[in-house]
Amino acid sequence: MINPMELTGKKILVAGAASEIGLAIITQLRQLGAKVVSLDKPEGNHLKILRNSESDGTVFYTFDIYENALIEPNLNQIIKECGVFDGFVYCAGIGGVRPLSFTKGSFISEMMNANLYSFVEMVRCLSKKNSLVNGGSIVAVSSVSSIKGLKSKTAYCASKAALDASVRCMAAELSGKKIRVNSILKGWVESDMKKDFIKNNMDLNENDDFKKQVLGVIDPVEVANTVAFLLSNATKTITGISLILDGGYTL
Amino acid sequence: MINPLDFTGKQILIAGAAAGIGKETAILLSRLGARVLLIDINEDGLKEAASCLEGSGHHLFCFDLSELNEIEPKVKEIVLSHGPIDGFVHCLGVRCRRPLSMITPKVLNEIFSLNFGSFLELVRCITKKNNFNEGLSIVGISSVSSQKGGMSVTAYAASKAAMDSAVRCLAKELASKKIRLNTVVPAQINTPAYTSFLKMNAGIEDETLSRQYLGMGEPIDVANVIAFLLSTSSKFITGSSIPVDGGFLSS
Amino acid sequence: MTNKDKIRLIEDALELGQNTINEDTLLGDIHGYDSMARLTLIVLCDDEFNKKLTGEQIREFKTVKDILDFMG
Repeated sequence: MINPMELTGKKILVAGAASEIGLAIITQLRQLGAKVVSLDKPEGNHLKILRNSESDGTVFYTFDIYENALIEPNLNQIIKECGVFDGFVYCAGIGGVRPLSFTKGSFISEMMNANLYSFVEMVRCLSKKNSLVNGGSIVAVSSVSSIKGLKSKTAYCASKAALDASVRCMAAELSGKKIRVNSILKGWVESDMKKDFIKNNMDLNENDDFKKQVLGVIDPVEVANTVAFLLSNATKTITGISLILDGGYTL
Repeated sequence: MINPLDFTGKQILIAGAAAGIGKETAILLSRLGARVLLIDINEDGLKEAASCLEGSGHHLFCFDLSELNEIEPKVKEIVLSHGPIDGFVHCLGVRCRRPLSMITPKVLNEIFSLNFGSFLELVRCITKKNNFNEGLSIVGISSVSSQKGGMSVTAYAASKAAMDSAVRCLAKELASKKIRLNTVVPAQINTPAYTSFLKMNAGIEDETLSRQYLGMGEPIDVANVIAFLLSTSSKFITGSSIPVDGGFLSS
Repeated sequence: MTNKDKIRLIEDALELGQNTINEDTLLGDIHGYDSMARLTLIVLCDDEFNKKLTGEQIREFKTVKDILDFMG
């Protein structure tokens, strides 16, 4: 039986691995036959990943991925040790709820830095060193916030919209090397519901906003499946798109 | 005969008024009876623009809008001296061509500070209590790049997508204060910024002009739509991005 | 900055291996010397040397030396 989504022989770099979604992605990619190199800040679920990495062959690097000056030297080291990649997944980033009146420069910078600048810098470094094979695939995990107007989420929404715009441009610019670049617009994921800034702001988040997802709250595995789909040969002609994965939220 | 675009008695703030679309908008609004408050970093340009205005009660402010921390005191000063604002138009930004390989975090941050940061900070300050009159309308200048991918415009496109997204959010967040926000989305317009942009064209295929089948746009084409969005004629329009693109996006 | 350093900067910006080009190299002979490469050099001249090179000017350049001379 064919398996159009298999990733045997592919080496994928996953940035932001030490999160619920990151873990789900690493697991799914491994089960589809890929070799995974993961990276994240040294906090969160990183210990879990470290413990597993010996047994399942995942290589794990840690550094402050939002510290832009550290990205180039660290990626160069990773490329030296691991070789070229067939795919790159950016599932890092931060969320945040803040009304306009408190949305000052420093908060915007923090949001843009984690959700856009780090992504652009990583792709810049990977493509500059030719460490993504021709025909490779890049997937950024964005959000439906990119296209919806939401109260108190101006900076977050703007950062995700900027991320998607950069994905479209990179798709045009890297097309010469047949590298595909796409993003996923995810809705409410199960793991979101556990986050403090979400729980503490249910009023602002319009309390039952997540009920708009008629198909229910999303399991991280679904995000992983969609990432794998975009990394695989099944999507060889898909580039520059933002794939909505939202259980009907934007209907 | 009625004139739905009569701005008599209204005070409109225009950031980036020394040239191009900003200058044309200032002139148009002055001809429609508005008092215009013009901000730009270019003193000579400001004076030149002022000499083209009709009517009286206009004022010029020369300062650097990329210094985000200086915006709050400046807006306070302007409102103290001249009263609350009825409309705000943001017409400044860096428009540059840069391949991904040259978009370092520092450069990206600079572009974002000017294109997006100044927009958000000005909106944040102007929409504080007592700084605006009921019916305040805000217009930002986006770009077709916000929605379409292109080569060498990643940073610019991302900053414009951020603006469109922020406008969607703020339209919702500030609706209770009866404030409307929208963006205009131009394709290629005949301005000094476009001329410099062209100078950097080292042969990159720019099919924008051929796809905007109504030909090259003029600043007045965009100014007309901005005036409409600032007026009471558009009081049910908010959170939207209106193309002024000679058909580009639809072709 | 010496011409050697400038050449190194160009090789880096255009993702060429070290010592693959010299002053006399014809731009047209450089692997992958397309419009994006030209734009990269325009941005390089601005960032590193504060010199504004236009698209029209760079299209007139024939050799690497033309660029080095422009950089000043």
